[in-house]
Amino acid sequence: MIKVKQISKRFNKELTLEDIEMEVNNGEVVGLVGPNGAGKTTLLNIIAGVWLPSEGTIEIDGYSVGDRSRETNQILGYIPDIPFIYPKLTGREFLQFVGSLYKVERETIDRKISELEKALEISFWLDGLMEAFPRGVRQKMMLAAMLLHSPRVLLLDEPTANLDPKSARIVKELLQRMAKQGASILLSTHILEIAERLCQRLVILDKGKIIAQGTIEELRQIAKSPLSNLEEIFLQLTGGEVYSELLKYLS
Amino acid sequence: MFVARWLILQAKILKNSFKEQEKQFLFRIVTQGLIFILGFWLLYLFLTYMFDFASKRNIRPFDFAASLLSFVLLVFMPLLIYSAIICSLHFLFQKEEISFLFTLPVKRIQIFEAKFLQTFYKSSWVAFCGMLTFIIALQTYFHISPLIYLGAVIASIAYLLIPFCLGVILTLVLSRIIPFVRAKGLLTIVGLFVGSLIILAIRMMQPERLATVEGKLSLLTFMEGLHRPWMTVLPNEWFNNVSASYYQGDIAGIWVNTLALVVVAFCFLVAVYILAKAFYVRIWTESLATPAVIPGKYGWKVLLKIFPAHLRAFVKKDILTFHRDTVERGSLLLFIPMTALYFYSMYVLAWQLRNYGESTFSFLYEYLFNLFYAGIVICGLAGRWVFPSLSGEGSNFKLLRLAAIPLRDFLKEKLWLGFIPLFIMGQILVVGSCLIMGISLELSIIASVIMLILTSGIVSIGVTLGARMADFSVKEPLDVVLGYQGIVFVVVELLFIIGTIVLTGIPLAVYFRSGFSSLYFFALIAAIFGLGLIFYFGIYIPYQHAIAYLGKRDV
Repeated sequence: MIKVKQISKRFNKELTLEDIEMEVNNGEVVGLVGPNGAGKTTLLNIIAGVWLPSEGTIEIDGYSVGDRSRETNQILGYIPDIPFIYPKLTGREFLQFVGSLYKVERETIDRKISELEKALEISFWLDGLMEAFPRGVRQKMMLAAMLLHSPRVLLLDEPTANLDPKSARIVKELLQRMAKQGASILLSTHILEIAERLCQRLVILDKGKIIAQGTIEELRQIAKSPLSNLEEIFLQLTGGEVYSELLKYLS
Repeated sequence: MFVARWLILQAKILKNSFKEQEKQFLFRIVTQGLIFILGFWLLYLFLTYMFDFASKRNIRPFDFAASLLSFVLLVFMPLLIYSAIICSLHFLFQKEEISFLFTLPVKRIQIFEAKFLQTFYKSSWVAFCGMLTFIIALQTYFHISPLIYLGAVIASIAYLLIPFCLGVILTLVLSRIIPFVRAKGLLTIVGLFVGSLIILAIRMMQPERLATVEGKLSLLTFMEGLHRPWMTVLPNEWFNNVSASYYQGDIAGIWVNTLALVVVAFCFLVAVYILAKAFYVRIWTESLATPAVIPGKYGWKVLLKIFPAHLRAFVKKDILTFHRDTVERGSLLLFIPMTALYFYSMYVLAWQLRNYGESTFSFLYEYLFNLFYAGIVICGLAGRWVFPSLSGEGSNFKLLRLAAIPLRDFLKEKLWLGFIPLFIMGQILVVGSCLIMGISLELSIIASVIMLILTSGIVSIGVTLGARMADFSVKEPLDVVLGYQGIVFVVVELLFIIGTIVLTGIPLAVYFRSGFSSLYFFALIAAIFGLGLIFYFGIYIPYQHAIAYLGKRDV
């Protein structure tokens, strides 16, 4: 479970995130949506513990992220928008390395690699150097690496951004299965179709603030448009005026 | 014109980076600037001191200055070529930027010209500042006409263009012959080539004539006695003649030598232009191909067992990365000539000892000088691999910080991985040189222990400073070494080496004078205490701070 309490983040005195308050329960997939520069990646980085918040606290399964305890790291998996890679390692060596960073036994690592290589269709790439991997494969390799230690909390920044439709489908199903097994998943995405189909709840960020959060139904009520889809709700909440200006320009 | 517009854009980018992180950036610029100014000021002081020293010994100081300038430029020539190759491989073939530039309605040769100018600036500005410092020292000390600055700027740019163009030509030609994906591997050969050239240049200077206990006087007589008639065909001598002509008021000399430099530089520029027109686009296109390297099995797994179990994953990752990176592996070869030079110098020292008679003072001097020299070699290795290793993790450092393994373990691995090879290298240097110099077994053992202390300190300082000043945004770890962090590293390491040598030298000096006396034991205890203080306050405490800092800073 993730509990974010009144998080703010300043970079050079400029407020990038302001008073963020949200939760992700066990077994729940929550989507973080918002325009470019809304603060989605910043929020994920802070929840993961890569950046410290200027104010506020974060709890992951009862552990405070500020303490940066090994316990928190052990239950957390974070997949950034630009995947971590070591160009001179093979995919398998990379997975073994990340597994050992999370103190997973060697036998377990090997067993999980053989499961994940089939599930994510990465067998072809496992023994090649990572520097030659296309972006999508890097993304899948990163996902595989973060699943090795079976995290109870998973943070994903644009997990399907570089994936082909088939791989995106596989990832979606994998995340749904993990949520069913009780994991808390927070993902940021620009693809509203994924957010709508995959997430039980959505958090809409704009200019560093949460402007709405809830289920699709609740968001419809907030936007006061009972029949609209997520795209329409999103555009209405995050700058309907700009959108109509754009349409005017295009016409 | 595209080149001019592009240069203005670079200036704007620099200006904007000021705006972006005003305070941080200003602080960095000010610190970096101050350190560089301090460095050049020290060089200036050193030069004027040497001129003074020469004039007091009835050696014409300008002749001395001219010899020094000429030889420094000659020795640095291969380094400038090497730097040009590294910079051109990096800047002339930047994937994202050039992909964008090639989509613009601009002639591709103009894009090359713009990148050429950027590469020239990146590769040569430090050398330019050094040359200018030398000229400032000459002008102020010998009261030469201030017009020398104008001439020096033109001559310096022309002089620097020659090795730079040579480097670019080598890069273009070799990248055309061998696929670009393997071009970085060329650095191996080029590194060896440069190393050999440096050895050749140093050998030409006959360093054994420097190796007398008299020190500076022999340096002056050595410089005075250098024969260099054939060198008039080399650009370093033309540059030297430009400054000499200003000193003598020889207008014709100024024109002839400046013209020689400018004409040769121009010829090289034309050669670069022709090659670039023929090859640049094709090489750049080939550079986009991803390498199809299939890693083989490695048979050194057993070696991992010498490391503690919880560190092996890090060690394996670092060794594999090093092993498969041809640039990293290739630059190891540069240390072969360095080691050869080291043993050669020790051989010369031993020869000098035999000639001068083995007085206690000269023996101790040579003994400690040997350790200092070995310490410098180890420091060079640590500066190349240990110090930038943490910054080399780049954005992957996030992964390490998010891991369930504490950062302390990660730094421990860096310590071990740096210490083991450098310890072996240090011991080879010390034991080898002790054998060459005919030093007794007891003193060889002491030298070996001192080297152990030096190595552990050098590596610990490298890791600590590398952690405290890590820059995870650099594209190449070497950028950290070449930045202000590198200067801080060198200064701290030098202080440590000198401190350790002095502290360990005192009890030895007392022993040579009075044997196992009470004074000796007092000196020994004081030295151990002093070393303890250095290690505790200078290394252990900063190391702990560095770990805490790494855990807290935003990545």
